[in-house]
Amino acid sequence: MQSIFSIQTLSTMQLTINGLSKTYPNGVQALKNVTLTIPQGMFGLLGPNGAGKSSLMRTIATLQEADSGTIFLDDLDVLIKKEEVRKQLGYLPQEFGVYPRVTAEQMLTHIASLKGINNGKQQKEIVAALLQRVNLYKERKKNLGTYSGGMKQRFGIAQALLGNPKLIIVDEPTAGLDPAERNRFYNLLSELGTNTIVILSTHIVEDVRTLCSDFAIICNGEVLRHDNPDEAVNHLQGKIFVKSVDKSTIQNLKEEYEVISVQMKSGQLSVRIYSDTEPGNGFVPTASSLEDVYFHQISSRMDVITL
Amino acid sequence: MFLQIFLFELRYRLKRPATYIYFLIFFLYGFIALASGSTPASEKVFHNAPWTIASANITFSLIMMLVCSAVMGVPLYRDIEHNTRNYLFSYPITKAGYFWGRFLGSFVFVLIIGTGFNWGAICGSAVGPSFGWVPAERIGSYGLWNYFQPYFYFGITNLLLASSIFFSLVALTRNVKVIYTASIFLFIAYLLAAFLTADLEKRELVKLLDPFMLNTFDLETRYYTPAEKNTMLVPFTKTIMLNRIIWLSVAFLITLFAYFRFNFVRFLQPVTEKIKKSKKGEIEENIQAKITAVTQSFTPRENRRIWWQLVKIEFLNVIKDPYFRAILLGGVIFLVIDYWIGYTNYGVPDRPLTIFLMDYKNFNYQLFNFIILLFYTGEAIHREKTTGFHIINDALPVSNFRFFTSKLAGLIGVAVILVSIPLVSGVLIQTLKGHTIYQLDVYLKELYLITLPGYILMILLSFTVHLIVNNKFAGHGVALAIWITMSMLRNFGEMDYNLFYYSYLPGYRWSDINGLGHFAAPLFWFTLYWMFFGIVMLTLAFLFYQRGVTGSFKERWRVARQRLKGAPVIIIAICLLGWIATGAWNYYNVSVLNNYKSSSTNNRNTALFEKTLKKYENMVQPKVVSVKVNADIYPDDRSIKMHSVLTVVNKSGEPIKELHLSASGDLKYTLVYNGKLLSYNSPLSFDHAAINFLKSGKDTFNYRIYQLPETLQPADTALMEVHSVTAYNGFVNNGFNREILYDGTFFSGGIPSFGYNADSELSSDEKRKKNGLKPKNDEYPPQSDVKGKSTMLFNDDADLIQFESTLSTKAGQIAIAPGYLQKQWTENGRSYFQYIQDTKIQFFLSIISGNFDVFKDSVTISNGNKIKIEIYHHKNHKFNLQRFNISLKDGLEYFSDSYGPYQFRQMRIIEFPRYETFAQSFPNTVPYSEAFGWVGDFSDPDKFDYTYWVTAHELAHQWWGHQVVPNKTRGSNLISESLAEYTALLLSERKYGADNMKRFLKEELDGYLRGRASESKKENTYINCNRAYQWYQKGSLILYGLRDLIGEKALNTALREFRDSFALKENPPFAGSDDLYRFIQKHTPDSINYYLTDTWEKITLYDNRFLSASAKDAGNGYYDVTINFSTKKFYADSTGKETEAMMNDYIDIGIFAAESRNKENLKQTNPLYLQKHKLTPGTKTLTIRIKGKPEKAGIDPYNKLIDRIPNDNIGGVD
Repeated sequence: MQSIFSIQTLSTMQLTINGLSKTYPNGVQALKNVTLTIPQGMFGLLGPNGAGKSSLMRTIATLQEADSGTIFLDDLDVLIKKEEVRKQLGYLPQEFGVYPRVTAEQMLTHIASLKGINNGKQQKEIVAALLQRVNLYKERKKNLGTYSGGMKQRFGIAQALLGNPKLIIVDEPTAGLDPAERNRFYNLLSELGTNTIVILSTHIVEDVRTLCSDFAIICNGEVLRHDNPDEAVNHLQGKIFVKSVDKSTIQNLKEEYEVISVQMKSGQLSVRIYSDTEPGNGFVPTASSLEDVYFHQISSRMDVITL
Repeated sequence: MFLQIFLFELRYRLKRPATYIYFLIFFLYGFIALASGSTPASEKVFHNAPWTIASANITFSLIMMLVCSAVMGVPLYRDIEHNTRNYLFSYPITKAGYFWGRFLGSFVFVLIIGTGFNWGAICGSAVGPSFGWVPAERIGSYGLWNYFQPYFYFGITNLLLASSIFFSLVALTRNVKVIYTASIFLFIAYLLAAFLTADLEKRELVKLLDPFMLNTFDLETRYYTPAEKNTMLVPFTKTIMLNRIIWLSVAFLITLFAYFRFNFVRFLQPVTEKIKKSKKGEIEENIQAKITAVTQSFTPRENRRIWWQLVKIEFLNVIKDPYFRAILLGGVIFLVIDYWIGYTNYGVPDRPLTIFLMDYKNFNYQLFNFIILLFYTGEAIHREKTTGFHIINDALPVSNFRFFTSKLAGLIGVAVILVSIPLVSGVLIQTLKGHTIYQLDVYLKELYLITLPGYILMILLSFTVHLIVNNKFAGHGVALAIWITMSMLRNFGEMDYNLFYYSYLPGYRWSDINGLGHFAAPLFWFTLYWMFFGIVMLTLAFLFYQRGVTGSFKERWRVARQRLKGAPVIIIAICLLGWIATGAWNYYNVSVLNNYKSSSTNNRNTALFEKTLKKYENMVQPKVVSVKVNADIYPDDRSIKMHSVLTVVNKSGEPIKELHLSASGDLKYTLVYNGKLLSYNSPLSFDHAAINFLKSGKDTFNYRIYQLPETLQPADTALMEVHSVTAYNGFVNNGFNREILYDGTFFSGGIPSFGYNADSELSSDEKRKKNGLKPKNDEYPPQSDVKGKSTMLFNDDADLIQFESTLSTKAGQIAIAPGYLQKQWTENGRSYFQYIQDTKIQFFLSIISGNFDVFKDSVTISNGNKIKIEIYHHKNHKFNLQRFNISLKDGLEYFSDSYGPYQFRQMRIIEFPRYETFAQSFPNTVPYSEAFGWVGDFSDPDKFDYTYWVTAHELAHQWWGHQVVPNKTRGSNLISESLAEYTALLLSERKYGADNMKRFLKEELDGYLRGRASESKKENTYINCNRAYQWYQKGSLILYGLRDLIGEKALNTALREFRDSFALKENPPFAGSDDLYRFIQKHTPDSINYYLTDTWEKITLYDNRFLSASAKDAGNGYYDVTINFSTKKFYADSTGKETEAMMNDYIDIGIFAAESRNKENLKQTNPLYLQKHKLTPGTKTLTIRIKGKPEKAGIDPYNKLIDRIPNDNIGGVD
């Protein structure tokens, strides 16, 4: 489990992000003074499209410069000692390409050796094992160019997990995976993620609840909330109410209440609202979910009700 | 549906900035070419003449191929690339609408962009003169049609051809990269066509095969005179029409084929492979696989291993790429063809010497390598990004340095392959051709020490560009632009200072005699200089190495500054120092030890020379009557120390008070006059060129005026002693500096000459005007000029002189000067040779020194004199010694018999390195270039034996030039050159038969017609000839033609009488062209007088044409042949304007049986009928009864007359 140059800590590791900011040349401010402390275990990043999740993850993954702020992996300055970070890193980007005329097995073997896994036997075994665990073993001799979207995504997972990474960053890893594959991936991640920091971004809010010990909600480059999922849900307990309404009344309701979400259910609209007190008016209390936390947080920043 | 798609395409193109950029680029090309006068037009042709515009238009339509590929390649591919199929499928689009809509919509823009050049040309010719960028008299006034006619006639068809090929290929293959391959193959087709044009016989074929008509146009208009280029819109000739029909049919068929094969749905469908769903059971079984702990190791050893693995991947990525292989294959095809054919002289190939092969590899192969390196450097840098893998790749724990240098090393590996191919294929071809002197050291030095570093420099530059630009296509563009700009600046900017041009080296040439010789030093130092620079540049660029997501330039700058520490700083510091040090050293050599001058500086200085010194032109100077030379040659130092004693006499009627001596800049000498050391003043000095800023004072021109201590009265004699040193110091920017060499010295300097030399004046009128001089019309005075008649052409410092010399050289080398060897000895480890020329010769001398093998023979001529023959040659060049020898023997006998006895007792030929490719006839001594005859491969007996012929030509100069010395009047050069050319031709014909001469005569005619087409001033009549194409090519044609009319005997008698009255004449008047003309006239009957007037006093051209011929069997082996032909005669004025002339001239009509081979296996034609007919202009029909089966017939079948279109004179008999 030990690599020659990796930093071995007896206590648990921790990723500390402090005051991280980034503005793109086109003027978009992707990160605004982000400060987060990420402990070992699974960490979920939630946020709407364009919130800055990928920017944050790329910056941690040494692939992007920050304008200001620091990131430390324990004592290791991530923004400066990039190479040291890369030795301990497993990264699955949101979008990536592959060499079309290379097989999955060849490519993984190549990446394994770039990750310093040079022992021939070990290299073979780990590549085979990962291919099996992401269920690509049967297709290992096929050129990557022939892979479907889901297969390619699983290949991406396999490469990210090569070489006992201490810091695993996976950007929307389950996009394009069927539910079975998704479960398989989460099991794998849980198995590997006990002694490591895993940063996971996803749009499936409930996944964060089931998997992560910690999560953050980002919107417009800012961290809106950093919490434990269960606590966050508990915090809203008794403050979420639901009611079925007619479409025409929705505008009035939005003016009157803090509407979190609106869903169409058999021709009727089911409206969830947040309220510290009993709203009456036909609203009934309901169990809170992490999704409520999410919408509650970001509704202050953007209009999430779309019909 | 068609209309919508068509309009969509138009709107799309209108929105693309590229559309405007392309147009602007071509507009600028046209504008700059015309406004700055950078066109191929010779001085008497307007820059905007119809011919010039047409020529440029065709060239640019070839360059438009790039635009065609960009515009026509994408309209279909766009839909694949952007996955627009999903909604395209949902519209009611028809195949025809889609295919033709996209095609025509894009093609409209190709057509519009295609006119960019023409609009630019119009604006350029309007603006250029008013700003003085181009002389106003070089821009003619023409209407709009002049600028657009070539576009409509030639441009559009080229654009259509390229467009339909590119469009169809993408439609058929769904692959946009196929365009690269198609471009390469079109390019190969073009090069192949260009290649065949070298052979006169294949030109008709080439005219049809060239897909872009470049060669067709060139060949169709190659004989256009300046007047024609200025006035005639280039017509759509039959050949051009045929060419267009062929290639447009090709385009049409390809497009139709593509259309019918095109399947709209299949085209847009993504490429997929069926993927088998794995069964559920297997999944369960796999899930158990355990992810075990692995050991990661990043020790330096492991890092090196990883690096090496990356290098291999980079290397194989290129090597295995099918497009790489396609391009390389193209290159290798050319390499092999170039190797196989190589240099030819008069259609005779040279043997495959390694020194030649090393030239051939640069003909075409180099260009393919350039394309490969340019293209694949970008591919390598952007490989990860192109596939999108970079986002994973860049987070892997491999340092920037290792990623980057692995790409560099991979590409260098490719370069090693590229330079090794010429070695392997060269040895193979040499073996196949039975040439076993492989000279591996030449291969290795050239390929791995000169070519490879050059390729590496290219890679360094490309990498730098791609790192900084960080966009693949923009990077390709910038890199290409840098190379093109450098080449344009060198060619048109009149500035070729190598220290300013990345990767450029001083020119050099391999020689068997001198090896790499004195070029090794500059090559080494300049390579080192650029290598240092390249490394500095690349290291700086490396700081900008982009990893992950591209940031703003500010951010990249910040990161680069952060990286500027440690190893990069050290590398930059060391290489910068190295660069500066080698730069200083190179500068010291080029601009301090030597005196670099750009061509414009040279022109300016030459003009100043004329303005300052012309007043001395007619200054009376003494004449040399005897010369005694002591010369010490130091080949290893490349210097010659000379002590010359000249006896001079005042042959004029005026007293001489001062001596004017001029010499080349590198001659340092002192003058002792009648025992007194004289001082001098230099009336002319130039400002040093700005680049030579370390040189102080003035650049003194080596023209000296010596005040004589006592006046040299008419008929008085004086003794001049010249102590001189000629030494080459260091190395120069460019040029061969070839006179004094380690081996193969051939030196004609060492003694200053008298007075002002008008031959050195600027001759180009345009350059003269630019430098404030009046135009210069004729070099020499008319034939009646008294001073001209009493002056010798080749050296006006003397009439005939006595000459003796003592030469010393390095042990092992042989030193040679005109004269008979008296003594040879060794002293102080040096070899000495004493030569005395016991009869008077011209003051036309050279000194030679080298390591030679000597071939000896002798011949006794009819007056009983025994002539010694000596051939000094390189030890490996013994192939054709007998051809030289036999030519000398035949010539000595025949010329002595026909024109008077040979004046010397020896004749020597000496080989010299191929820095020049001529042979030059000094008294009984002929230095003869290594590249000219020594290594020709004459295994095909039908080939013209030019070794024999050139040797005869040089030998003939011993009569025409050395016995009869031309005077310095207009046209007199024909006495030495035309007569040598004609008499050598006679000798060759005696040996090989008239059939063997045909090829030669055809080349001569081609040479004459081309010469007059590119005439930059005016064409003189033959008797006033002032150009090489007149006294060589036209001279041999018209004398050969004259012999045909009056007979060999009459012409030889005339020449003999002419020779007798002028041979070895010590006192003026000397022979002029009018003297020779008079003797020839005397022996020409009145009936032929028209021919003499036509050829000598006028410029006459025929237009003879075979139209048709048919034969009727008349029984008993007899046939009645009816020939239909036309004939016309023109007189041209000096600009090439023609007027039709009356004629009643003798012209051959010939009928031929099939060709056969004689007992020496020479091909021979078998004329059944060959008679002169007196013909008037017009179309004629003749019926002739002959015996034997006719095959071909024609008018003037041997091209004895000067015919505008020589190859339409013969045709088959039906």
